[in-house]
Amino acid sequence: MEKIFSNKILKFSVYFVTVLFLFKIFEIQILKGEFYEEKAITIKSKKIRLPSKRGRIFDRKGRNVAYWRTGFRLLRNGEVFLEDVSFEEIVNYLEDPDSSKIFSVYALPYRFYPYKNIYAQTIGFTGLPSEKEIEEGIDPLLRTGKSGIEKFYDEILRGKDGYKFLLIDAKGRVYSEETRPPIEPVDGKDITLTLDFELGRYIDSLFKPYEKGACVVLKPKTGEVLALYSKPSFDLNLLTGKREKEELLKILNDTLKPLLNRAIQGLYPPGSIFKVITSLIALEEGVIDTNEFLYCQGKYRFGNRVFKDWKEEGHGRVNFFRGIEVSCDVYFYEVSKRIGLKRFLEYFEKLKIFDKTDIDLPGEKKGFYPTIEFYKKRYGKYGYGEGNALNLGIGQGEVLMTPIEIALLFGAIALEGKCKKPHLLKNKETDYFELPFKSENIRILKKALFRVVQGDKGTGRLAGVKGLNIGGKTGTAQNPKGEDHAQFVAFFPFENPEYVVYVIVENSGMGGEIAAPLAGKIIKWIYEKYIKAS
Amino acid sequence: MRNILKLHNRLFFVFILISILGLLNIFSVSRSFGEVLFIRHVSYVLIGILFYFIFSRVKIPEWKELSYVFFALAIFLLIFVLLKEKGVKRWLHIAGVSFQVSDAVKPLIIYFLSMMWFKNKKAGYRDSFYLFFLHSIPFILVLLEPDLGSAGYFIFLFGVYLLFSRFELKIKLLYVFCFLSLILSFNFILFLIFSAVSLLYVIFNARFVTGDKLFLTLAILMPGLTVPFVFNNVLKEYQRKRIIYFLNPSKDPRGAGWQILQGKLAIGSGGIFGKGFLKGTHKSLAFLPQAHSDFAFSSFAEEFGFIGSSFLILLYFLLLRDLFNLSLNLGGFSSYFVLGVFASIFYSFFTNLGGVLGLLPLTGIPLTFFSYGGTNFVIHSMLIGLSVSFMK
Repeated sequence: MEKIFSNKILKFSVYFVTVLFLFKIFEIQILKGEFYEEKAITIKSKKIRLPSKRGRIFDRKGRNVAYWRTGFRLLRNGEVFLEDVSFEEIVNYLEDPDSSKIFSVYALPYRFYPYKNIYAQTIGFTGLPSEKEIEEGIDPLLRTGKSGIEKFYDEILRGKDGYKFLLIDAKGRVYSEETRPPIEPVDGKDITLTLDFELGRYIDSLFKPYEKGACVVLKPKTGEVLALYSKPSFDLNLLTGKREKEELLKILNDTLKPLLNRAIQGLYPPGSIFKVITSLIALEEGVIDTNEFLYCQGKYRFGNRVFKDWKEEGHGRVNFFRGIEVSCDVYFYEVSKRIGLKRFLEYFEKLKIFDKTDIDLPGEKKGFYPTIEFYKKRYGKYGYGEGNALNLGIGQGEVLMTPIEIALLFGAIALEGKCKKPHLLKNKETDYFELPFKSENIRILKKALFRVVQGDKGTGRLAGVKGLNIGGKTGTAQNPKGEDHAQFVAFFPFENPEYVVYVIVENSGMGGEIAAPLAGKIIKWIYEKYIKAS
Repeated sequence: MRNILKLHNRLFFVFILISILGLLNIFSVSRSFGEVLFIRHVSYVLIGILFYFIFSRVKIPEWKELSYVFFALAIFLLIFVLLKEKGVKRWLHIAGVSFQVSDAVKPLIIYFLSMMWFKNKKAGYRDSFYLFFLHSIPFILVLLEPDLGSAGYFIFLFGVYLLFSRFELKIKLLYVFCFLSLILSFNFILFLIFSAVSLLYVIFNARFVTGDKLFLTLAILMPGLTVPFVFNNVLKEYQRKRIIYFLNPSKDPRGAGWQILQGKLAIGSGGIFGKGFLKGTHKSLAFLPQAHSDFAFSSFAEEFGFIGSSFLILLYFLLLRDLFNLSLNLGGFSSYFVLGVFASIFYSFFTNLGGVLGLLPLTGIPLTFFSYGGTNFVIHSMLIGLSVSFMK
């Protein structure tokens, strides 16, 4: 009896739900049908984008180096007619008495870079999202970072657009606003960098006579990068706004490759700068005595080949310290011979100086060093030998390094073994970079590097700054395509190194003549603005 | 015999008819969403029909041991999907096939629970607690996904089985009172009326001994008194809000209420005869969210009007009535199994339409056989097939 009753309840519930639903649709479709029909026909929904603001970028001194300005978008009959125009231009169109068209104006935030071309490759630019990003759910109108810091920290800088929903009647008039609550836009977060943009502007002024080059300034104790400069550059503001597509195409087609960030992507032969590595290997392996003298006549015989010194008449009596000071090639041919090709290649495997520095930027290149396989492939099984070691030892072999790698190497030398890896985001913690050499050997090398700038015959003496002791090394990278690349790298104050400066000027000549004085001016600027001030 | 054959044909006919109407609707919707939806759904329907034919011809063994294996497998899948690190924890991808786990495990769980209810002979308080415990395992696992709507089915199934089973009235009442007390506790007046009437009924009913009376009194008062107390005094404001939106998304100012309004606009603008096939305007203007799944009924009602939508409701009525009658005509295990299939389709029918018509909170449950969706369609085709197989 009870069982049957329970089953009746179940059966009844099916009937009940069916009748309830039928009654409800009867109510909605027939009793209130006309009311809904009218509403549905006359009213259309429209989604209006509420743009979010991209996070601002500040430099280490709190200067605002990327923010947003207001620009106007003009729509004619609902389609974009003019993008990023000034208010005055808009007024011209709206005053046109002939125009029977419906115009609408939107004020939008556009990215603005007050320092224009300074560190442009490092800051990077933004653009409309790629298809892949749109697939990942980014609004097709929300700009995302395309290169540099803008790309690397895009997730922090990027905001999230909001929407509001308007109901519009058949004639396009707004019927009501608040049918559906708007989704508020979320602005991106600001970031602060370690870069100094006034330093960048000063470096740019020093590079005025030259076409191509790069400069890195970093603090090895913290890894902060004060300058990451690459020339030629471009005005970032051209890549945001009305003509960005044409401008980007123009920059891409430029044979000088302004988009290339030479400081992290330029691969250069380190030239004589590489003698520091040769020295450290030699000291570590004990193949030289720092007080042993050689006589340099400007030539070095090896088998039946003659290797020339950069100075034709030779340097005379040379020991280790003198060899570094005057950058004597003959001395280092001898040292390289003693090290031998095999040991060089073993050290290259061990040294991390050709690895990426893991700086917080996209697209960093790593350096290049030869291996036995490489030589076999290039010169044939018997086509290479100890002669290659001699070229490697003075940095004219197959070795290639980026400016940031060289700067990091000198940071580790300055601090006698290890220093922090470079970074651009302020307060970011990075790993240590370490050299596999005893610190006493690095100290011996530092003594020699001191003489490069402070000694009376030092190749880098033009970098000298009054009142400041500097250690450094010049480098002149032979370039088969034209003039040599002049390079200079320095650390200072010598007693307690705080800064490393690296400068390369492409196709300009000798490191000591071109790069050293230029670096000297940068060092002086830092000395006055940073060291003296504190 | 002739009668049963007729029923068998009618079940299949109604199932196919609903599927065709669903296909028409998805075709219409997909014109603004992209044809790929329609093409995919066609393949789901074909696979579903294939499953129907396969499973309506097999003879399902009725082994208790097998039911434990099935249950263990289902629980394994439900836990496995929860261990996924990313994304929505409702879908599993195995060997190139993606499926919604809470639907996919239904045949296994219905088989197991039917067996448990069928084998349970004693029908005392403890047995009912044990069965409730078994139902709550899949309920909790699906709730954790989190998917309250799909999880609710397992509790609903408990209610259906309990009413159907031969437990005594006092035990059935125990659960019914608990449930009503919980629901009504959110409205003080209703709760007062309910508790007064039911308490009078229990206390002055000579059929119950003192122990039963105590139990039933607790069932009437406990949930209703403790839940509001915990809700108001223990939980913090943001936790309360979260629970309210969870139970009733239409109160969420961020959108569900707007969806329901738009759904009603679409249904209402259909009128008596509808706007005609492919002539609905609401979905193409993107007014209707989920016009192919949760709100499939709304876009259908817009195009086919009161005539079409009441026809669809009557088709579901026929399907449910036939399944229920089939369950009554069968005996033993299969009777419980078919009742489980009935409960699944009934649950989808009243939660989906109830939500769309604004009678219940929106749960996100698709309308089985009508809404877009592969797992739901194929699994329920299989369940209908299995139900038919018991007739032979």
